[in-house]
Amino acid sequence: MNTAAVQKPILDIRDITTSYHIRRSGAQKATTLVAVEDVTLSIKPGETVGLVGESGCGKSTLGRTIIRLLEPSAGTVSFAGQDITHFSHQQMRPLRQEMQIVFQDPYASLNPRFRVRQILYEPFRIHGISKAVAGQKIPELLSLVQLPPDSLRRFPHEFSGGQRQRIAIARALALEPSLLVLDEPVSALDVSIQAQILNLLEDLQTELGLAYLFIAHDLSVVGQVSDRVAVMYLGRIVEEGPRDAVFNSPQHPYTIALLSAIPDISAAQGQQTRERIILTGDLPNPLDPPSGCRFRTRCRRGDQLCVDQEPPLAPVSDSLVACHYPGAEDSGPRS
Amino acid sequence: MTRYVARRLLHGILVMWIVSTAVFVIFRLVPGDPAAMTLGLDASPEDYEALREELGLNDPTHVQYLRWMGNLARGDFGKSITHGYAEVSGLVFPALGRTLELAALSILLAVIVAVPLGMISAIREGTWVDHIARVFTTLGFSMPTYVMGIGLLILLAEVFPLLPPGGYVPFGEDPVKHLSQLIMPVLTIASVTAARLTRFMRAGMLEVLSADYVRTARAKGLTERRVNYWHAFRNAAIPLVTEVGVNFGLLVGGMVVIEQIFIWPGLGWLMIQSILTRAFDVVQIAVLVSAATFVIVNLLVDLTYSWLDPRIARS
Amino acid sequence: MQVPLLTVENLSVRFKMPDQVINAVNGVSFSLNTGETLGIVGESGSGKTVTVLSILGLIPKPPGEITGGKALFEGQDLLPLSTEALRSIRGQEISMVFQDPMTSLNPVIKVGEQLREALWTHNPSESRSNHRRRGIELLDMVGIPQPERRYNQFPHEYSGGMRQRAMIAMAMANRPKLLIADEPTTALDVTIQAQVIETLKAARRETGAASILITHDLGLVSQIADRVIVMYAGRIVEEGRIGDIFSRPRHPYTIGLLASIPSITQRRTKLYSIPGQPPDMANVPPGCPFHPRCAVGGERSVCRSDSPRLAEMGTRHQAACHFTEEAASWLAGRAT
Repeated sequence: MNTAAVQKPILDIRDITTSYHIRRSGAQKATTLVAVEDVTLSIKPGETVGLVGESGCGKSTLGRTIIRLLEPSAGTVSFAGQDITHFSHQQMRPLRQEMQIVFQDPYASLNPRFRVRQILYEPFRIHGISKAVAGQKIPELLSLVQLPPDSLRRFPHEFSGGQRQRIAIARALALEPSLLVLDEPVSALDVSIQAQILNLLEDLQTELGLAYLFIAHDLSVVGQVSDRVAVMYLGRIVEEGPRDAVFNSPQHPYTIALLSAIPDISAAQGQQTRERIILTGDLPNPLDPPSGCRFRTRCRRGDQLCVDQEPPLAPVSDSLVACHYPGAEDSGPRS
Repeated sequence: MTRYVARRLLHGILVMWIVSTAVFVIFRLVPGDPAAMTLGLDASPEDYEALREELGLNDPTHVQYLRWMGNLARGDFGKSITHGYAEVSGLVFPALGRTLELAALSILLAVIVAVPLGMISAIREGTWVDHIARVFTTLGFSMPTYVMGIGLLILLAEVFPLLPPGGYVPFGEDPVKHLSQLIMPVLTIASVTAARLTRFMRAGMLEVLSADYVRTARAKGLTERRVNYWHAFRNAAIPLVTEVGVNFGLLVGGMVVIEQIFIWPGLGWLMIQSILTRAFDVVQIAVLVSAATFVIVNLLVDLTYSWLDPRIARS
Repeated sequence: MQVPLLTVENLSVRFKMPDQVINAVNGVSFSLNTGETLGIVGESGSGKTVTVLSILGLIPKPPGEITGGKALFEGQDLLPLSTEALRSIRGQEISMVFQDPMTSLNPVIKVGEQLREALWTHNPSESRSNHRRRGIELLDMVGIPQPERRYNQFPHEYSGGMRQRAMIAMAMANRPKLLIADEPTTALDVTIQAQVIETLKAARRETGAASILITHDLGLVSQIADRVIVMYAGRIVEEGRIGDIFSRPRHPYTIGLLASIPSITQRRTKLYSIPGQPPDMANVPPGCPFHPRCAVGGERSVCRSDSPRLAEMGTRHQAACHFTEEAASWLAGRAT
């Protein structure tokens, strides 16, 4: 996708923290789960920022905070230069047109009792746009996502998974947003269909100049679409940088392990392979994260410094890395 | 776990407080006061005033309310004017005991029938066993209890006089007669409840049988018997506990018609009798006790449930 | 030439629904040697899971129905066997690991108990304490820390990765000759996936078991399988050794599938995508089922009328396509 020129970001979040209050049965006090902590990220118009991490790392929470479906407990969210951190529901209304979200499961996110025409009309109705205008726009939306015109009369269950995801994308595009948050948009789809949707998203970006926040657990998919990539672990960004920097010379041991864990077909094709690093252990309980560096319990580089101090996100070559011992080599104080 | 029990207890007490307040409001604040209810319309104004004074009805409402709640809290259910100043608890609790006996036996019989029937019907889905079970449940569902009760009465006491047509003799006095008097009401209630529980068991079992862990159990090479009666049944049985408890609670409060048909002097029978004799002081306590039974049964059900399901017990 | 451990011949399975018939598996044949790892690749609805479940008699009947074929395990056809006869095969000779470890373990029975019964059912004469000791050993073997404590826990007290390890322990309990893993890592996180794959490999090395890995993930297959079967619409469209399938694919579907995988090492400007939608299994296109989506055969009449048979492409490499030569040059054209 095209590299964005030096422009003001369409979205800018600073030091965002989002927490949930969880009340467990039997417990007296509600526990606070800090799902996202101290995250700073910006997205320029027409740019795709990929956000990767494993389940429970906070990537979806961050996506929802960005479009203000959730309110952060600290930090600021700015959209097109305007601070919207504490905008009320009423104030957010006009901005909702500008930022849309597409969810993972196209089966669950489309109302099964609505025909496609109604599904696509919904955003217009909510924002008080006349039926005449909507009637003109809806066929255009359909052709944007490459669905046949007769789709309008049909119900979601008459479509395959990939087609349903196209409908969800068409709905998100109805009000001509400038930012789309894509939360695992292809992970429920088959391989051949996944490629169709990724290409569609790419075409739409070129045509409409959209900015994407592309959230996924699959690094190869993120690598395919992103201009910049941010890697999250237990609520924090541990590495962020241009796509090629993160993929070709990852600096954070977590990013290195994540990349090496992807089963790659290149070996079977007779190409050079990467060394596989198998992380030991499970993800720590997010309710009780480790002290200092959160990754230290699964890291091969860690020492006392990592236990005592949380590493800040600091520039290392082209990227920002939160590690006391960054480096592309899998080396550290112990080896 | 203790914390959970404490919370549930507190919850139960709260419900009981709301129920007793509601009873207070209904019996005192609606038109037609208790004195008039007790004496009837043709009582003399002097008698009426005297009774009002005796019942404390001339006191301000909040005083009456506090007295009512205070008495209940101490377990003092008062004396019944209509029953010659007999202790109300002496009337209500034996009646509750007789109702519980009927309800417990009925539920027991229903469970004994419903669990195997529901399971087999699910395991043999679509076969003749299943069809028969489903005809039975539909019948049980569609027939009102009083039709069933009266039908049994005509059949087993009139046409073939095998059983006494109703009444109650304490077990201690004549055990055989006591049991023979139990048969018809228990059959009536159990058949309806069994229908409900069979359908519940069948649906639960069908769901569980298609679960992934049942497939895992088969793939391990376990016998069909072990798969069905160990892996599947344990999971299907957990929600059944709730269903049984809820049905039991409903029975305790819902036996009015059956107890009338079979002249069984339980709580429902006592309520009707007390209403007919205008013994409002008995009715209000009977309502309270019936509600309390429901709350206690539900509490026990929830505790059993959390004990049975490890996922709830540990979290 | 050694006698294969498992030979599946012309297996066909259908599901009779009230309003339609789904021909889930259509004349599938393959074989597997002792110690070998076979990957079965395909998208949802391709029939890959139904194929292996039928071998063990694990498809629900009705609506499922095996309409033909054989599944010879050490020379014995498993398909006509009664459930009781199959029991001694299941979990003992052939065992399975399923996709979702969250739902594949019984939630109300302790993990140790579930493990113990896998041992007990095939060796009922051995003592309970022996089974327990062996169960703890197995948990330890698959890398579950504190196996004694974990033995007495319920599945919900395990993480996703640990549950899948426990499933593997259970599957390996009786040292089966064949281990079938159906999408064993799909439900897991990337770093946990890598752990579970290592565990599977180690368990296989330990026991020398042959294995079948069913997955939609071509990358995964390339890492652990010796041979691959590619399935589409209930048929095998291509089969061959890993190197042949990944470097010299001959079927347009395989070629398309490989081209639609994003690579992390080299970024392509644009992914290839196979057009159209997966086939509706109640209404499979006539002729070659892939023809509506095919970039090579496409609208040619032979593709629309004749279902191509598997033909030899080289040593142990077969593809079912009328135009494999053109497919090969199409691939060469795309590569440049």
